[in-house]
Amino acid sequence: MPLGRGGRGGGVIACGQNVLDIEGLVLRRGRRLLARRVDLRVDRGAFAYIVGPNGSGKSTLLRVLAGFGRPEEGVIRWSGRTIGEWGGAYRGEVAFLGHLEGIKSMLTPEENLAYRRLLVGPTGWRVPTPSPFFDVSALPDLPCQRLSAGQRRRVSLACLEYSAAPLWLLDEPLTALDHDGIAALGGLLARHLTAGGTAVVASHQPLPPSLVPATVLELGTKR
Amino acid sequence: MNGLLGAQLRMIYRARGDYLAPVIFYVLVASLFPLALGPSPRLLSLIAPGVIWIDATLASVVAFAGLFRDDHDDGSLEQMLLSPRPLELIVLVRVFAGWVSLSLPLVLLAPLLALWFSFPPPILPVLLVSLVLTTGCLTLLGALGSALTVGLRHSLVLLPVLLLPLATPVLIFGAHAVLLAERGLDPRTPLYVLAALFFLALALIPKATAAALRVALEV
Repeated sequence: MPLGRGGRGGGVIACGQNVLDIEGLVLRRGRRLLARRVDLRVDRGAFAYIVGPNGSGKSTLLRVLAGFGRPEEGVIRWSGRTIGEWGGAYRGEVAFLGHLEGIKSMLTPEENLAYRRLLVGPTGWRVPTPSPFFDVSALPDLPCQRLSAGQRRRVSLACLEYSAAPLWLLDEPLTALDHDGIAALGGLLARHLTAGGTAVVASHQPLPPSLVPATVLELGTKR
Repeated sequence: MNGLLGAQLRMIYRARGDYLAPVIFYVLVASLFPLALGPSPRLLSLIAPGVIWIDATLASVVAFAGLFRDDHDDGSLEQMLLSPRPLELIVLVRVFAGWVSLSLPLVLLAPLLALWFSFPPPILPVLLVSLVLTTGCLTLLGALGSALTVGLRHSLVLLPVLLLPLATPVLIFGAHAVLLAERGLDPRTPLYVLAALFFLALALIPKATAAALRVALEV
């Protein structure tokens, strides 16, 4: 597994396909300063693991990476271009799993998958290697509001499984998953990385041992 | 886009109870006027256009307050924003689904209300045409208002304050068209203005709504 480097390499930026490079990012939530300078580089086929206490800016970092709002200071490069240079095309590059499931409570699991497919379009969708845990047809054919939290999580992870986006941003992906679910998510992420994808995972739960992050970024520590 | 519209309509159909409430509100408010003002046919037919318009405006404001609230609360707004499809188009599909499920019932119930207000039947076509255009404008305005207030706690109080001033021109021309028709005059001029307002809203509001939704999700 390629090793992530700290970032600042004397101003020379050599960015290949599916490489995420963050330089001097200042994270703010409202007026509150969360992190003064975030430098992070994640290579193709690798993932960064963001840790830190509650409120340290893990989610804010992932939301900025997803393109929700522009950073005040600092540069985010994806495959060599900044988010601004990517423009609207950046949206097709990212799969985002936030605290909220992003699934509709009125639709059944299979309908949710179809709805997500309509949203991301045919180019953002691929048929994955089947993994039994995220097989939505095994879930009850009921509107998702009547499923358990863990079952809803499985639906939203199934949407991720079908995503062809190269950059995955996962915010606390292990929430509400049982032991098998955590292992299945590990497999899902490993397949994504093997296929040349990149990921940034924020979690305060330990990851399955099979997953070794290339970089661990600790937020919220006094520097 | 057809599939997206189908999915939206399916969600609305599953939650049809929520969408019925504004329609019932609309009928109930209209039914209060004959009770409060007395059953004089002359008075009622005089106030009918105004009552139906104010009623439709209030029902729309109530109904569209939550157009994007669910999407915001369940995280699908994030997924909508990450969709490679233009957000304006997704907004437009949402607005159209909202119009079909919330405004179309108001338009279809208008003849019933007209009956209560001893409204002259020959003018019904004018009433319906102007109501279609009015509710179209109100749906678009409601979408913008909903996007601007999404994620705020007291949006139901804020939204009328935000929307009613914007809805005033629509109300003036819509009600005026019907008043003219009632007096036997040509209602086309206010209807044309109303149509112009509708197309202006159709051109500008999806873009503004998409921008408001992006701002709502900013870190």
